[in-house]
Amino acid sequence: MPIDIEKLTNTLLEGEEDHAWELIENKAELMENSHLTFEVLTSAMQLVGKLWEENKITVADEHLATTTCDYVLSRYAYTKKKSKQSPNGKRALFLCIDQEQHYLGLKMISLLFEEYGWETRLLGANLPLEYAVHTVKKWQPSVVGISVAILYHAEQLKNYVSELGTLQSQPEILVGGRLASNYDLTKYCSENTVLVPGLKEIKLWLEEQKGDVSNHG
Amino acid sequence: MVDFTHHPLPAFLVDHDLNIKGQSRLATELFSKPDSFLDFVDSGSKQKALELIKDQEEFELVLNTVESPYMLFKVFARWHDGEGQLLCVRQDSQIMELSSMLQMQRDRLAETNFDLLDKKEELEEAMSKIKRLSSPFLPISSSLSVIPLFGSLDEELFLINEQQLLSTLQNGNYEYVILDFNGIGEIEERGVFAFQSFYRMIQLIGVSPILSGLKPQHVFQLMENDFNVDQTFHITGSLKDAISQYNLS
Repeated sequence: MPIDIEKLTNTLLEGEEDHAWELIENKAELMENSHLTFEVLTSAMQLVGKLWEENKITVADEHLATTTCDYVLSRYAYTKKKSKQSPNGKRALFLCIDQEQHYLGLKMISLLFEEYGWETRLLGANLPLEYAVHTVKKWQPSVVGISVAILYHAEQLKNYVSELGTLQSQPEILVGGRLASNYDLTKYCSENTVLVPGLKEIKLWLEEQKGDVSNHG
Repeated sequence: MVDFTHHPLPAFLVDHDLNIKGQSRLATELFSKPDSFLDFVDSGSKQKALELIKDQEEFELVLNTVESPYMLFKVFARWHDGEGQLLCVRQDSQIMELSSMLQMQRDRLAETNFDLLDKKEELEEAMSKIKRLSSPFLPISSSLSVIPLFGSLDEELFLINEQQLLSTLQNGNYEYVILDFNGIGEIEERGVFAFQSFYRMIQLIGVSPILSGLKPQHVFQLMENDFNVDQTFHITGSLKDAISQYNLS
């Protein structure tokens, strides 16, 4: 890792957003490669989760770390705005399933898509299925990314995948999130669902899509 | 055995293996009647519960209640003679406090955003004001007027000002207007086209335009951008010369 994860985690837990930003900003490597920055922040947030399991912090601390991390992400996205690839005319919609509050990963993914020239919309945490369906119908994205972090919600994922799969626009469905990297979610998905456990897989997928576009003119 | 029934909190009495031997009425309301304490610990918290329940006096766990499958509790544990007393306290109030802190941070984000937007608009307004002030109209006599140009000769300078200047020229029945370049720095390519069309319009309304104060680099830049000097333009050296020449005529 390019920076001291423990140090970064502490700034997040303290809610010191400026300090956390400095740690990122001072590393040219991170400022150039967004996937590295996302990995660093993901590691820090994973450490936060581990600290909770070890009874060293409370859920309240976790929430503060999440918001601080969110701020750092927004700021990072703003400074990276200039280096975006030219728009490719494709749209991707991202959402967490109902009752899910873990939206940071989703935000990172949507920023990564933007860097690849996609137009994105992040519906954010805790979204009822009807609203997701409504938005997909109206906005017609070619990709819908769903994030799941908690096993209890996996059953619901099934509904999301099947309901979105029946839509006329036939958006491609990507499923990611913490759960996708820890469990085999195949049984909750359809044949066409793409499971993307981590950032690396998303990046690969995006590179492939880019290849497709140039191959077909 | 302790009677837990009327305990003011959801409370459990468990044996060494976490089998429930007694529970308070509130515990029954929240968690029904499980056999083991682990039965209603969320899968994500189970490992934590197993590791901590005997060693720590308080810790947070996510528990499945009758109402909600996913609720945060602070659990207090005391062990004595192989029996454990477990109290479960909902963490709502703490979360409320936290939410307000989070809201503050979000507000700050939004504020930064809006501040920036406000500043951008202010800046744009100021720029446009500067442009408006960069070509004032000065009447010298009943037949002669001067428009000193300032700043960069760009498209905007004319976009913003030409309507006003043309109608002033037309309404005042001027014979000559001196366009003075003394205050002009940079000349932009699109500015040259805009300037040329402004020039034509002045002629169309029957006023003779006169250029003054052109510096060598102005001429060079104008020529480079195909400015057609081969017209009926009157060009004089300095603004002073131009005024004295055309004021008398």
